[in-house]
Amino acid sequence: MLKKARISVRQVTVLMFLSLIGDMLLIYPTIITHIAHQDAWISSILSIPLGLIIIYVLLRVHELYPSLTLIEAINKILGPVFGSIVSCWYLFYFFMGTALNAREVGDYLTTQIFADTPLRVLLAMEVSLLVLAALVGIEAFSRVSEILLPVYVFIFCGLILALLPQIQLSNVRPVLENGLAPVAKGMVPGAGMPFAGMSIMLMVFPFVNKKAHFKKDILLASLIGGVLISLFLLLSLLVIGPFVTNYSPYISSGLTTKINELNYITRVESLVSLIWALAAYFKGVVFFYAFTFGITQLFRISNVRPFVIPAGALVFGMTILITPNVFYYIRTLVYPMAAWNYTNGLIIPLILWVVYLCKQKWKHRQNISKN
Amino acid sequence: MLITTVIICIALAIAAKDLPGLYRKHRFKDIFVYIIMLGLGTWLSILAAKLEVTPSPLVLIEIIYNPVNAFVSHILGF
Repeated sequence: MLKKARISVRQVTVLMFLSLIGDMLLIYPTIITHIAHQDAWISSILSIPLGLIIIYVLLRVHELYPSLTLIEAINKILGPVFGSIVSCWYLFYFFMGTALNAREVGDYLTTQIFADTPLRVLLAMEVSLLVLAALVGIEAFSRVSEILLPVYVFIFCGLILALLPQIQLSNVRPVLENGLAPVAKGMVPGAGMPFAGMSIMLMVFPFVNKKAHFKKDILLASLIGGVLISLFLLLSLLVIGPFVTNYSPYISSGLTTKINELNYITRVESLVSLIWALAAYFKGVVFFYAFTFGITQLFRISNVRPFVIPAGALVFGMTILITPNVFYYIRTLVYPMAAWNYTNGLIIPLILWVVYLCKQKWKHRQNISKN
Repeated sequence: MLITTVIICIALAIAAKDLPGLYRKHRFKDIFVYIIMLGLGTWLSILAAKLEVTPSPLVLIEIIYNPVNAFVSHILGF
């Protein structure tokens, strides 16, 4: 039996921040702008409070059994039969999430930077990094995320400051041209993609040394993450305009090529694409960790380590098979994926909560009738 | 053909590294899960490396959620 890993509140906050942003900066502006056009920034900002409600529900569900992970809690609340079915559903979600996340980064790198490298090679490298991170364990990669956070914030702030002179306010006018309906439609994936996908963090929370400010810190991290995503979307609308944001799959790269300070600082794409890949990598690590750890907990196996490499092989195979091209996941899959995220991040946790309360009440009543 | 052989050799090497330890501790359930995962992983990796066109498993998600989404948007009137 391994010694139980422990991470601090600050580390889990950083992990939450990075995995909330995750792959969103690559695909989020295109998805929302396709629905709401120049009003995409309004729906993005309005979806932050919804997202915070989702995170709060997840935290409350975690408090029912603070020392158990999601899979264990499901098995405890729903019983062995239904628990196994719902656990398999969640494991499928974690598996697909890992594969889709790795594939998004791979597609981005192979179209924008490593144009001559085959996609398979990039994906094999990414998946082997995921396997390495899962082998060294949760303590190590949360510390790495803590180290890399200043780099991330520094590059992100630099990007925003360098693009500020090129803002054209005429890009977002006319405001609310088509009324509120497209804005409300844009809020569906706007809250579902980044916030409702955070059910993975329920697999990480049990390892945290809880302090009083745990809940506040997590909510604050998700607020800052949501604000950063909205800021990035607003920036891409203001600098490039809604039309190109709508039709370009990788607006983040197009935005970076716009940087030109005094004709001296130019072509910084490869530096800046580091931060997209970094945040998406941490999201992938948390997903992959949840997948392998969930499998071993579903089958009640104590040692995770031998199962990491086979899980890596599964994920590598699935990254290629999961989607035929880029436009499958930024156009066709948007609403089903958002609904899937809502099911896993909001509806099933709420059902778990209600079942838990009913069980408590029933037990209480039984105790009273016994006495 | 070459790439299939290479992937199967890698899978056998991984199995040769981990399986004896599990066998010595008589964890037969672990071995069962391990072999299923590694076998599936090898199969998927071969499909991926040969760039075979297969239907994505996310079609399942589309089948489940598209009627739900259509129903909800019909109710809300978008």
